[in-house]
Amino acid sequence: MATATAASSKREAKEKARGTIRDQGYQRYSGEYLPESGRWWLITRRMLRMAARQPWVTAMLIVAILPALGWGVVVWIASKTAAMMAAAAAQAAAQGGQVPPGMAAPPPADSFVLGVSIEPYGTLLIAFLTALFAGGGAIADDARGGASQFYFARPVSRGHYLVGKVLPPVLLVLIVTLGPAVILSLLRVALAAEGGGLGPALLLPLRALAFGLIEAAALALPVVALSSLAKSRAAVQGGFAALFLLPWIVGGIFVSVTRSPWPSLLSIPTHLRVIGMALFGLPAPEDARLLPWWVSAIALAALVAGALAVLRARVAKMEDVSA
Amino acid sequence: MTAKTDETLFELRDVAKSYGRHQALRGVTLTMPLGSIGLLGPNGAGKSTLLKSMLGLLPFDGTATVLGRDPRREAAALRARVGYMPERDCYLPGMNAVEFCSYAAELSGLPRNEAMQRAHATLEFCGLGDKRYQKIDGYSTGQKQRVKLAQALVHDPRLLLLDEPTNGLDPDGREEMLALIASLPPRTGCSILLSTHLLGDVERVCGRAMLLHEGKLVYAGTIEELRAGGQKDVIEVRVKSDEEKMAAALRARGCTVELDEGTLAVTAPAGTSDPAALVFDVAEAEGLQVRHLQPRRLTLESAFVRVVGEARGKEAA
Repeated sequence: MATATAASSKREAKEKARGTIRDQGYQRYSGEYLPESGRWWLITRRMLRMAARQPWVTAMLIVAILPALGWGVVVWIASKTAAMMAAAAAQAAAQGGQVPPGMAAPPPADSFVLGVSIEPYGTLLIAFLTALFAGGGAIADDARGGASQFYFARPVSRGHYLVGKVLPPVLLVLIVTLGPAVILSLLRVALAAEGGGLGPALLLPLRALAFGLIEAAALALPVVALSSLAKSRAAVQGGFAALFLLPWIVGGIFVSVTRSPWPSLLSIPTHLRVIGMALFGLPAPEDARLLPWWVSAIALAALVAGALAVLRARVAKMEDVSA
Repeated sequence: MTAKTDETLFELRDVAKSYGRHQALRGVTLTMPLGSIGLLGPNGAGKSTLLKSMLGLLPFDGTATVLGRDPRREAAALRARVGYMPERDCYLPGMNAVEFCSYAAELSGLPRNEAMQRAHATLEFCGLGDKRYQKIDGYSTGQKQRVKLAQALVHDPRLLLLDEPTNGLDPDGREEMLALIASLPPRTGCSILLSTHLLGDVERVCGRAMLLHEGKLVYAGTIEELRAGGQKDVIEVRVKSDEEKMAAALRARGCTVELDEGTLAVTAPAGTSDPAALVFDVAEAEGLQVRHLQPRRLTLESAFVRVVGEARGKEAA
């Protein structure tokens, strides 16, 4: 009897629970509505989540660490070698011998960070690919799926939409460019703390941050601007690859042939390299034919301003909710 | 047209919108009470422009209030209370329905937990409970229509703007969608503005209708009034046999009679207090049996054709 009663009450509880689930159907919402100020962050967060699902973006984030590891080893070896050479030089000097030229001069510390940031075998190509994969579909996917009407029929302003779409590729490119550079910079600071020269090394993270921001803006904004012009992610990626690679390759060939730096005027990677070298205070290699840093600065500023102008114009026209 | 009260859904005064030389809306003035309203009109009548204007997405001339708010100055606050189901595809590639609807709710201002909870409840209500974790990209047309309705509903809007909600649906799917829509006002108290070219959808869901023709409002009122419009004094009569004899007798008493497939459309002479009594008198005098008598009601389709025809006639004149 007791067992039957227990079973019955268990069944009743189950039924009650089931009833509760049924009662949670569509009904009036009596909770609060949040103010519109944070919509840009909702869009950014969602886009970052969607980007993280793309295997290529994840792969780029992982691969970006590799140059930092490689250069980290180089930095460590160079630092140890410099310390050994300095000791040897000091010993030779104490013994009244002659110090071989260059023996006491350590390799330029910033070149490692520069190397990981802008050289083709560093993170520049990875940053380009990250921008390509993370930004290619930013607005093109919305156009393809008709999502502009999804956003703008809600309390989402064009400004919030624009920021929400631009920020994810900028942040991802920043992670790719800045992460390894900061790791290396911190390593340099740590090694400098052991061997002296701490002051200049402390400036490295700041320089790396400034360069990372420039690189992220110069790569991510144009790809998102292109994304606002097309409905196909593949077309955007193809267009951006052409914009990035063709002037670099063709310009490089013409620079070699003409021995003038001006054919590289349209090359984004070349401008980034020039700005990087100026920012890190490195002299240009003797055989390099590089544009003056201010020309590159103007070119990159024009690129970013043009991309922003295109984005603003295109997003302003995205009111078409039911045409 | 109805005066503005607390029960007013929207009020438009001389609303006009031009695209270059083309006038999409021409001085639309009306006040509509809360409830379900059909927005009817042929292609190019200005329905979409009116919807956009009411959402605050298009600048326009004139004044408007929707749910007591000015769409131009309080667009964000208004859109938080309006749900919009567009005609075209509307989804974010790569998302499943739960993510899509919870994202929609968050963008409309709901906190994250509430948004997720309501996304599940709304998808269940829209009949997508077992498909909600599938990517929308792979949905059938009917499922995409349902998820579009769900994203419009998820934040509990006070006004639901539905643009051709049964487009592309088979008869069963259409019936289910209309049943869902019709069940909303009694369930949540929301109002509906249904823009469609399918008059049957409006008949099924709406108590009122507004008709646009070439940017002008040509009718606003109840569906019943629309059907009866211009035909108020006409009664339909069927007799057991010999309709010709009945028609002749009615004409002899001063009535105007049209005979169409056994049904007499009778207009009693001016000043007749009770046309039905007149018909019964005539039938009795002629020894005929009346089998059917009722005021003439047009189908919505013929009412629509009549109103649009009248508007065209006025313009031509």
